[in-house]
Amino acid sequence: MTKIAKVTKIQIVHTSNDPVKPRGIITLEELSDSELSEILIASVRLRLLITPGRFQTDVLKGHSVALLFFEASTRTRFSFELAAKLLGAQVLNFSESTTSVKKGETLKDTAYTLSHMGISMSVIRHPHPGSADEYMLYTGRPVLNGGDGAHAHPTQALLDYASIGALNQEMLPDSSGAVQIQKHIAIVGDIAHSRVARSNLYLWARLGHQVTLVGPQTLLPQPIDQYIKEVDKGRNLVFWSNDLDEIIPEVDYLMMLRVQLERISEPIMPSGREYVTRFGLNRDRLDRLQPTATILHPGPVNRDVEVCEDVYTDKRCIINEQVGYGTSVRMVCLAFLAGRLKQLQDYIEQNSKVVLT
Amino acid sequence: MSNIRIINGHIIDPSTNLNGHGSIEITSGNISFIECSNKIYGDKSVSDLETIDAQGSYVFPGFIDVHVHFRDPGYTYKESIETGSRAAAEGGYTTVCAMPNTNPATDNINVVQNILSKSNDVGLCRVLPVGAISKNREGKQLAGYDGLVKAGVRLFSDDGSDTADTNVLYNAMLYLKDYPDARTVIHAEDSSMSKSGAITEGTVSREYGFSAQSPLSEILGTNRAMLIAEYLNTPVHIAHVSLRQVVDAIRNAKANGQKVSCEVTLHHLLLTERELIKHQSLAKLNPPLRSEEDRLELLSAYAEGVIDCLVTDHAPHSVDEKLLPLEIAPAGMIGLEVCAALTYDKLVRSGLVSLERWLESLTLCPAIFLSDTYHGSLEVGYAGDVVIFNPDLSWEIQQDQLASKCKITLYHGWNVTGRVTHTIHDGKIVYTLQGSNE
Repeated sequence: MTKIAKVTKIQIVHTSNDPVKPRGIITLEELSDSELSEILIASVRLRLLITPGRFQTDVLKGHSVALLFFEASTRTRFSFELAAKLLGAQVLNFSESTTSVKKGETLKDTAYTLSHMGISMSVIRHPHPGSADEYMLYTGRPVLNGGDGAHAHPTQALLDYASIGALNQEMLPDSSGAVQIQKHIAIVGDIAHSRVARSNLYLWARLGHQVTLVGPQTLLPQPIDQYIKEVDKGRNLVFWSNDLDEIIPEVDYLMMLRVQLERISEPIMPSGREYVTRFGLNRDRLDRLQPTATILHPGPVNRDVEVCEDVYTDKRCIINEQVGYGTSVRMVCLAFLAGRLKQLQDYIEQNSKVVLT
Repeated sequence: MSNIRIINGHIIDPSTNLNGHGSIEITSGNISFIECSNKIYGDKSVSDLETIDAQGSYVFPGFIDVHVHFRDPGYTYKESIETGSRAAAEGGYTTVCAMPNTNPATDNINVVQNILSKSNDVGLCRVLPVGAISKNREGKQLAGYDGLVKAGVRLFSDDGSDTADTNVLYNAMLYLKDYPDARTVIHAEDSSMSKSGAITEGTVSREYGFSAQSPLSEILGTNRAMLIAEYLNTPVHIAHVSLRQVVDAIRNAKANGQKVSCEVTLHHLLLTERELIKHQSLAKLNPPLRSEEDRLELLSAYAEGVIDCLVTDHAPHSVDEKLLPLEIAPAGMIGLEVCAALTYDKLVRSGLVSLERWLESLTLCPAIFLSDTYHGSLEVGYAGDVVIFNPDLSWEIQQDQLASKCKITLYHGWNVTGRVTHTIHDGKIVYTLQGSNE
């Protein structure tokens, strides 16, 4: 008879590879009220200073930023790269198809590898929810979440909010997280699969605004009443609707999400045409939207699907302005994570005076 | 549009609880005056009206059948909206719901408008198209819903088969929650358990060695749909129930407060699997005719009201098709012309089902199911849809005299007592039995 050895618990030896959770922005919940206020205000002010050919600081001199994009991106990737370079950091680009990930390297090992190379911080975009958090656990350095699945996209929500804050400064929170005016935003479209919707919902409700999620049942998190309860947390700020026509005259801000056309082949929507009929921003709906309202879209846009061509020429539409704030918000966030927000603020202070004189 | 006065009839309406002798006037397409048991509703017309003497007959609201197949567009050699409407009028039906297994399937607004405009032109009966749940009824993608609901479609079904992919059915029912009046109608069948679908697994299939459909097929289909509906807290309607286990499941669900409704065909109330021995393909239905125990259980559930609606599942095929061998012949029987007469005679007259329950299953229950507050009731202001039924008229069912294109039925030669003599739709007499008193 073979004697079975007693399995003893393996002792974990602590090494420098051990998870040490640093500061990062995985979701906006990690930012305090005063940090949120500082980041938004700095982003709005910084935006005015970014002029092609005339902007350069060395706030992040000596730092290196790795851009880890496991998923396609134009806006986010370019604006992060631009943001890091404008701040004087070294930028390392990464693409899944040309790295060891192709050879089967895990996210954990990629994190170890980059941290041992001495990368200061990383920006990660990944199709899997929770991967930014997981990555940060292993890299031991600051991480900015550039979008993890349908979970969170904090810099997108910040740039959306900075865009409207620039237009109406009463919307910008003070250091206690209070805003001077409460508004109503509708987020329209594929809420269930949208990290943009989740991050915006969180931010707007945190600042005390009313948020209505609009979409067909199959594109809302289910059961929707339960989800509303979970995200509203008794504040009576978050609602849902399946009737855009009913909501549209009431809202101050209208955020149209991109229809993920690739999802229409799933049994989740009857057709693109039916979606447009029910939830597209067409001429008639544009006419019924308040003259003072603002239209947002995180991009990329499917023209004539979620928004009609007229939206582009509509004065209430800030789709292009949003992209502009993408760069300044990401510069502020990178400086914040490097512990150099103060230096960036000083730079803004000095140069804003120059602009003013 | 003519103006009509029906006199001397025995008015019965389960919706308003009218039950007594009296008269009804229909003007401008609507019921405008009712006098019943010396009570008066609405205003009596002063002008001359076409008068029908209903002495010795019942006067009922026009019947509603929530489950028929008119085969139009696509299979008009079997039936068309015109011949189907004529069959409906002959049977006392003023509203029918036409299932979407046409060609093209009723999965988009164009087909719906085509059916609505054709039936409007025919004008014998209101035909409500049932929208498909899935595109081309293939069970893969969702069909269009929004435009259909706006055009008046209330029911969605892949009838003819079930929506096999549970995720597709789930998403359809979830999406349709946005339309509070829309109802999902389930043809409950796990096709992997159906085989040829001709005959139930039972005494006859065992004796003759038929490849048989397991009752589990319908049991699984029903319970799957009810579980999804319960999870989504949304209503669901189970089409043509045929098994005691299915009735039990629905009875329990109703007792638990679930929003479930169902229907039974006259065939499953009157016939059993034994008909297959004598009539072969003529008795082929889907779901198949079941055992006598099942039939009796259906009957008592129907009498109690656990089964809401009585339907025909009027499913015409060409004579050639119905003469094919059992295993390859298409399933389905006609029923519109004979349903009321047969069920009145075999169930009401024989005392198995009360007159009120029977009538409610043909009028009020389907109207409630369709969220219809303009049909299915004898009430001033409602549509002028009325049927006159002589309970004492004996006649023999002759298949060559049927209005349907399908001139073959196993009820051929049956003697029945009770018959529709007049059908009035939107204030227009659309059917009069030849030789009857006008």
